[in-house]
Amino acid sequence: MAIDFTDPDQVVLVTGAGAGAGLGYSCAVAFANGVISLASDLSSFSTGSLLEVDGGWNAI
Amino acid sequence: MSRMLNKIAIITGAASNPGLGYSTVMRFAEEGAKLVITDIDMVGLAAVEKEITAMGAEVLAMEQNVVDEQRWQEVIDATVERFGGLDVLVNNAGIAVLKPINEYTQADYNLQMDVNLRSVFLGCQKAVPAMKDSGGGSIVNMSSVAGMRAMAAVSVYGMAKAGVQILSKCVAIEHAADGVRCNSLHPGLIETNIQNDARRDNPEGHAQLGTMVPLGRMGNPEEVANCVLFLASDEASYVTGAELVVDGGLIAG
Repeated sequence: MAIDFTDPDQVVLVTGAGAGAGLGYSCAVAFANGVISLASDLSSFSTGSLLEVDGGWNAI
Repeated sequence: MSRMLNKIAIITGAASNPGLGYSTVMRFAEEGAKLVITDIDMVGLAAVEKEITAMGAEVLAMEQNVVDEQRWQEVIDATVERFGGLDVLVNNAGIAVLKPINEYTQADYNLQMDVNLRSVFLGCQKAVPAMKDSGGGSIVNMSSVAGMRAMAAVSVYGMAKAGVQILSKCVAIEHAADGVRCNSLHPGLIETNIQNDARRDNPEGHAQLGTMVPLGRMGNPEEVANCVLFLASDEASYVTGAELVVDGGLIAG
């Protein structure tokens, strides 16, 4: 039901993906592993939204 | 699929189909969770229990009025006794009493605030100790875009849902050190039984609702359940005190 990023027919462009400890690299790995993400069909009704990934930093 | 493999999850308001709780139960079952499902509708809940048992999921179904504090503790205790801990709570149960302010009775007000806000407080309060004993956990509280934007005829509903948003942040901050994450999820117009009732009562007006949404349609419960799954899973391990809007862009403007 979800976009399967391991499907060879899925085309994903990730920029800045070269740094081993960077977000781009991690995104590329996550996509390859089929992780849930805002890029996938699992968030098919979420658009124009923001998602904080900050360990609660901005909740204070 | 194993995003929730062996995770022990309580989902309230699980019986209504189509509904957000039901769809979340299905997704969690697909992903390997051990499930405690609750509702006041035991006939509907039995049907859900049968369906996910046939899928191979381990499930405990319990009648629960979410405004009953003692029952909350009984649900938590039964979960720990049956499965050995608690990893995830989805505070989904809710109602919608929508009318102009001057038509609200005190009983309307009390019922909506009890079911949509106080119950979430109770759930968080009772779940956190069991999650701490389990080494941490994730709470997903069902709010609404009505808690973020003012709309006509949703005053008390919106008040309760806004309360859920800030409550979730407070729980996140208070229990981050315990390894307990807490986030709120804010659906927009979703095709549930509530919308089915609205369609029956006002088919023309209801048909126009989808045109208000930038994506041009109402959402379906599975699209919300997928986002609940994300917040509940370890894939959201650094997401806490946040709100995730699932509304097709309705309030982005």
